Amino acid sequence: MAALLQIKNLNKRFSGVQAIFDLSFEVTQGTITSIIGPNGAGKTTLINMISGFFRPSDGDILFNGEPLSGLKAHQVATRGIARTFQTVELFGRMTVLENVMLGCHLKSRKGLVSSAFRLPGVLREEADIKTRSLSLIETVGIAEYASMKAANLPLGEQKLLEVARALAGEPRLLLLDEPAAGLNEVETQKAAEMIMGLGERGVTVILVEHDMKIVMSISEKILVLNHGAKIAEGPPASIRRDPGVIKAYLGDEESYS
Amino acid sequence: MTMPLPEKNQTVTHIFLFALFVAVLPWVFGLSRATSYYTDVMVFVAIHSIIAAGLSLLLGYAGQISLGQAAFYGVGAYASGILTTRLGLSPWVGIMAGMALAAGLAYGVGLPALRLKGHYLAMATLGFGMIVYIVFNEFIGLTGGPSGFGEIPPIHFFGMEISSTLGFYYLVWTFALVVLWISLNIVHSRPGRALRAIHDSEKAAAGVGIDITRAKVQIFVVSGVFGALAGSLYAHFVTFINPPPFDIFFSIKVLMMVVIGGIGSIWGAYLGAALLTFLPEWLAFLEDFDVLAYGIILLAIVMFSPDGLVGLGSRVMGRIRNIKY
Ligand SMILES: Nc1ncnc2c1ncn2[C@@H]1O[C@H](COP(=O)(O)OP(=O)(O)O)[C@@H](O)[C@H]1O
Ligand SMILES: [Mg+2]
Repeated sequence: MAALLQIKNLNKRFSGVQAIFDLSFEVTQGTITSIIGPNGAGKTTLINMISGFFRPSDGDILFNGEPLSGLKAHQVATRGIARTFQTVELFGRMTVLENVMLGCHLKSRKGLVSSAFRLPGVLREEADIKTRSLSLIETVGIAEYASMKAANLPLGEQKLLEVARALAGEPRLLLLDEPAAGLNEVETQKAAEMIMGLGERGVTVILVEHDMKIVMSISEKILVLNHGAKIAEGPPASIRRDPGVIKAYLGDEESYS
Repeated sequence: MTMPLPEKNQTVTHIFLFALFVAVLPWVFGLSRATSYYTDVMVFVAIHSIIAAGLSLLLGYAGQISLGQAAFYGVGAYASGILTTRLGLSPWVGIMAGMALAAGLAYGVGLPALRLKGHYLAMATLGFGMIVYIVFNEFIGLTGGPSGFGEIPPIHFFGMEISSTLGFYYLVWTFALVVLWISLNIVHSRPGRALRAIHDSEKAAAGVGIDITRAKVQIFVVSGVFGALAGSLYAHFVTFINPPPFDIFFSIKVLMMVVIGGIGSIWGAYLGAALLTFLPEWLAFLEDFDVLAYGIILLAIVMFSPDGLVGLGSRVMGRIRNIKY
């Protein structure tokens, strides 16, 4: 079976910095793949390239067998790739519910003219996406905040809201950039369970995360980056034992194994 | 800046109550000789409200500034004027043609400017406004040049000729109320939500699949179409047009209407249009000092209430409620 996502000899150079160096890997449909590596390893840069926010300097990204090269971020989203942001990017002045309703943007159709004249179907579609959004807010456990302005949410709930919004578009591939950073232990556990649940529902997940407990427990595959290059790739058990990884990254975090 | 969304049927109720108010107003004005000419002023309030509603959508919901709304106003006025006087076409054809031409021009100006991040639209529309103004002045064969042209025919509505001020008042306010309804519908639905999202975070908006350029261009086209509609109505009401009403100062005046009324509120645009249309009438007794007083009043509003009259109103209402309890 062909992989859902294929990264081929990908490079990203910023002036002076090679953020991603000749990177190749594949992601199988329905799996959770984690990407780890020290700060500055190029994890966010990789997410930005897959989601169309950055243009690769070289190399190819194939989604479902088709190249994503040249597509803008919103076009990549149309193909079924959703993401969250390491530093939260919410629609701060809008309510939690509206944020998730915006996540439904690609799953709804009504345009300017039909909305302007309230043509038949507009109100029904609004009600539909409202219902869907409310149930997603419930799924991630922030239903009590539905009518609060997103900017006023505590950080943990903001992170969960980003996930709910990304899920609202019913993506085939979900890119999560450090979803547990800033969460307390209980919240982290909740987030881990939710991400695992996504895998079981058939959503393919790429997870960038520093919390080794989560990474080790929920990933099918782990990819280790260092200075933009892949230094290891494999199931959690083998990554844990990889001497290169221990030296470069895990270091004194061996206690997690 | 964004108001909590009222329930949909509440919006219609508000518009209906506003329509009733507008409908009886000329009869109230008619009670006194001193106020009877206010019906005339209110025709201009409606015309200004229509053009301000378009800019309010663009500024308050897409976060983009246009300094060229007067050009669309002029395009509507000249399209109506030229097609009805030179070709003898129906005013309705003139109105439609003006709106179509404005839509095309807005698309042509907006697409390259709105592709770029930042406030390039302000510059592009400033240039566009100047070019259109030059065309009105220099293409004398078509536009009559600086002296303009007259004898623009009145609008016929179901066989009735709308030539009295009162008749035109009801016609133009019908348009203004429909524009209000359309604008509020846009704000309270998927495309309006997408625009507000862009205003908050372009990154996140692109992430959920919103085509930012397209959304901005679309709403700029709407603002151009509303501007042209207002211009056509102006031409058929005044029956004479020349370039000055369509200059950069009018563009700035429309911008002030939106800001004074309250950025991010369509109702605010109507309030701002009313204030900036009545204020010069009320200040006329000051003769040479009217511009000074006008400036001071506007400055005071912006300084004491950055969210405009709508923000001021809701704060006052809040105070009153607090007193009651
Ligand atoms: N927009 C950018 N412009 C210039 N350099 C960047 C940019 N984004 C990231 N970098 C650089 O690329 C490298 C990788 O950064 P990043 O992908 O954010 O790492 P990580 O997410 O793994 O911590 C860093 O050296 C960073 O400074
Ligand atoms: Mg990062």
